[in-house]
Amino acid sequence: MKVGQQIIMPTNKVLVQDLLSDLKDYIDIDLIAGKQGLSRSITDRCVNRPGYILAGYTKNFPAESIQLLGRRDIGFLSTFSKKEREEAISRLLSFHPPAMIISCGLKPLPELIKGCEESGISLLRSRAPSWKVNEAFQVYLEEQLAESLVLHGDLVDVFGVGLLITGESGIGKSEAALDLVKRGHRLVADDVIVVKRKKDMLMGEELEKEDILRHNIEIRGVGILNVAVLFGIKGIRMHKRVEVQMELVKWEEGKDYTRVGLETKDTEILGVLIPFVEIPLIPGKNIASIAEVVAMNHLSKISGYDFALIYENELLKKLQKKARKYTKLEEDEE
Amino acid sequence: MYEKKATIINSLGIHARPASMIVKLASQFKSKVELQKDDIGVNAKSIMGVLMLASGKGQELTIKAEGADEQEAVESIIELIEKRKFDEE
Repeated sequence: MKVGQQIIMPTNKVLVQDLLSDLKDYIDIDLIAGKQGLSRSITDRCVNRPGYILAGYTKNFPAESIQLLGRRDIGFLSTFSKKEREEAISRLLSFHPPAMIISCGLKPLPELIKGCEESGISLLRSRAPSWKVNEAFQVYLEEQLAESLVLHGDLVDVFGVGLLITGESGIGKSEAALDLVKRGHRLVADDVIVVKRKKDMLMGEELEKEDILRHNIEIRGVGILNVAVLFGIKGIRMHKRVEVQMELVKWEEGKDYTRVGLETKDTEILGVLIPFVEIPLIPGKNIASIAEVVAMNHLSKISGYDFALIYENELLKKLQKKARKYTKLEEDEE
Repeated sequence: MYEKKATIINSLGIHARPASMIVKLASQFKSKVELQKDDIGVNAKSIMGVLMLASGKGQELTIKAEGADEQEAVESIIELIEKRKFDEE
């Protein structure tokens, strides 16, 4: 990893106890057996229904997944003789899944309690139906295990567009963000932005989780300012989708910058492509105005109106017309 | 790239004053300088990032630099943290 580049945090992990405490209120879960298993980590986002393995088919068993036992699974197990049931349960537990959960508030089978206790696997129980437990786990694990990275820059909601302002230290990112907040836009994070990938979109938020320490901005020469206090609740936002990256760069003589806007650049963050705009800085340039225009242009483009493209097409039409007129004149040799 | 670990030894850890000392020092070098705590790395030339790490006493940080004066940058920050203890105590 190079210094100053994006830093990818290793895949996050969730402990069984985190899951238990975070979802306790939502799906009413409690621990029944296997307290030692609470410190185990969950790395897979899927929830598996172990019907097949209980029936004896062990191939391709997702041992990394949480195992959800619903009415059908418990009902199926209760059709077994005691010996068969013990075998089926130990077959399932021999794969050492991260945790087991029983839904619908069903009574856990004694063999299951014994097995979980012996193998150190937490056995949880929820009063919610299987579909709800499944949904809650998936949403929770998706969120917790999302790929994430830390970026340096400012994230501002400009007309509803998540604008990521980047550039080297001291170039004026925070000043641009402050200017945008003054114009009524909303600051998400200054300097350190945590970006998480959710399917094909990126969510950005501040690293700081404590409210009192959030939404600060450092302005050179002034110090640390609290945007929430100075501009009120309308000036801040907790998280925002990252949609466009605007990189501020020092003006360089002889370097090519986008002029017409027909050729667009993209940047890749955690495998997601977002438009990338490079803005060269020269004295007298108002970055906030440019940022607003970048955001508006993005909105216009996604709603199907690409001005540069329309301009080019109209211009081509006009030129063709002229060319036709000219050939006509040339052919007319009277 | 040059990197080295340092442990915070002053009792209050990196609060506002030590953070600004780090930033001031890091800014004197041409290299890109970064502080890393656990999995999170921040720009050592930016006060918000350094503060946000909220590094207390006993915390181990990795100081990384890349550029012409990388070694000097890392060594002087380590000296500030471990030898000078931010001129505290």
